[in-house]
Amino acid sequence: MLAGCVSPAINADGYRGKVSQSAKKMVGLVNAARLAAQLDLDGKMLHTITDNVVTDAEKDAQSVLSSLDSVQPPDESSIKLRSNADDVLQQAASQLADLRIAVRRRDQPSMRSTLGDLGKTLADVQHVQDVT
Amino acid sequence: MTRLMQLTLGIVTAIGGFVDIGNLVTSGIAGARFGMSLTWAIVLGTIGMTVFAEMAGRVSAVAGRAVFHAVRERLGVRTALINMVSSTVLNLLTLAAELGGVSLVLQLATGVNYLIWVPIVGLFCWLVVWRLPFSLLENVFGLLGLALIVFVVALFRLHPDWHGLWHGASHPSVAAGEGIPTYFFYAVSVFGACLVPYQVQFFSSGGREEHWNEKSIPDMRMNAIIGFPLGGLLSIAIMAVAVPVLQPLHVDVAHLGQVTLPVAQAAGVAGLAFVLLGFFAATFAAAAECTLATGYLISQYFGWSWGKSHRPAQAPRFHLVCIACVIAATGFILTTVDPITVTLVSVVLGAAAVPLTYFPVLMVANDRDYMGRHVNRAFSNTLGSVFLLLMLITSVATLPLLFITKAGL
Repeated sequence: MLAGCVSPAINADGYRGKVSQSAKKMVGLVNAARLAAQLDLDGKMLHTITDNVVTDAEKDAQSVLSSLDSVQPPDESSIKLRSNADDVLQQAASQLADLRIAVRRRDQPSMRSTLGDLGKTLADVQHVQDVT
Repeated sequence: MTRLMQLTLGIVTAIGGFVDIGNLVTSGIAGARFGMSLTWAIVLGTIGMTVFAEMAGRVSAVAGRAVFHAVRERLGVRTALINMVSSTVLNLLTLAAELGGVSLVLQLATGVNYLIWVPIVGLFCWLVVWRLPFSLLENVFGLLGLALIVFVVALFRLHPDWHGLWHGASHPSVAAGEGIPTYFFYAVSVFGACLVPYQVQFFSSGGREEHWNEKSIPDMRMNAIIGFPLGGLLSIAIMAVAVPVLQPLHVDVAHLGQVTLPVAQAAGVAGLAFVLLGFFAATFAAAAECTLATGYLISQYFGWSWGKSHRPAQAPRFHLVCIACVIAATGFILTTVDPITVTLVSVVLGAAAVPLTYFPVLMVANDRDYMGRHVNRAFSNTLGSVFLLLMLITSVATLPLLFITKAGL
């Protein structure tokens, strides 16, 4: 479903909007995965559901990234914006993969540590969303 | 006790039909993205379903005709053929969504990929439709589906801002960052999820299976008036629990697992066990009802012998249609198409197609030759006409909204 959320940008404003939209999607995905993992750590979640939610978030995050990457930046400022946003979004996607690995291994210390990392990255993703 | 048992048909239709994969998904999405501002769409859909189910049930009890019998008689064979083909396609899409939904629930419960479950669920669905007596089907899944009440319990345990929820429901507005077309696309989805045509086809044909007559009308009426609003209430609860938990986190619900998060937060693992049980019962019952509804409508159109109470040898074509439907829907989901996307498409296309099913019901319920003293009164006609107009407007708006919003994106 997320694969179709970004289409080719026409101008710099349009591109900024698409970056913002991608960041907004990523915020929701990171938050869903964090909530599931935190509930799991609190003993309030079935492990299979945590695995599903985190895995889905990771897959959707990759979809958000590839959708954004498929858009041609229209000018220099958009190329800089893309570089900055791509780094942050890539980091979030990578940490979601780390979280998925930790969840599947039932490695609670790693889950806690990745949740902390995701919290910091989330602030950066929100910054990308707000700036654009 | 017998009277209480008879009410179960209404409850199973409410849980298995009203709260099916369509409601679970659309209510979750709507709550997370738009707060309570789409409550009106559930309320309208629930009232519309109650009005037309009562009418279809009355036609079934008095005229002895299920919905598609009436469709063929009133619209003629050729026009009814278009109706039958479009309803069959829509039902198959809905059945595929339900089978996919059951498989997703099993994936959530076991961690085994849903595609492994799809053929098993399809086989189980066919076995239930073929072997399980009608009364057992309604009682078992009706009662298990009541586990979804856990969403109401979770809502109270979350201690939400009740004033805020009420304000959101009573002052509908488009959430910040969302477009007006997107808002109305989801309004159509939520409305359509409440009015899926197979519910009425199943309800009226189920009445024939249970040999309703004029004496059954009070019970049938209670089934519709209690059962469907119960389903609507559960849909509102699913929407409401998403508001304090998922909306502040900007979670854009796209998977069934995300719908369970508010209950996990409120009621922990025990709550989740009820959620999974309720999801399974509701989606599986809906799959069985949808299979039967398709068998009913095709058999009624062609004038074949039909009914679950008939042995396969007595109604071979009816049973063959049911098997073919399950095989087709199972095969479709096995193509790896996303069941949640199939669900959204089916409820939206369902919203576009509802007048095809509901208009003939209104016509027959107004025909004194069929209905005698049970013909529609002014109150039923006014409500029925208003809702039919609403359905027509929805039907016209659906496809443009689907394309403009790229299916709600």
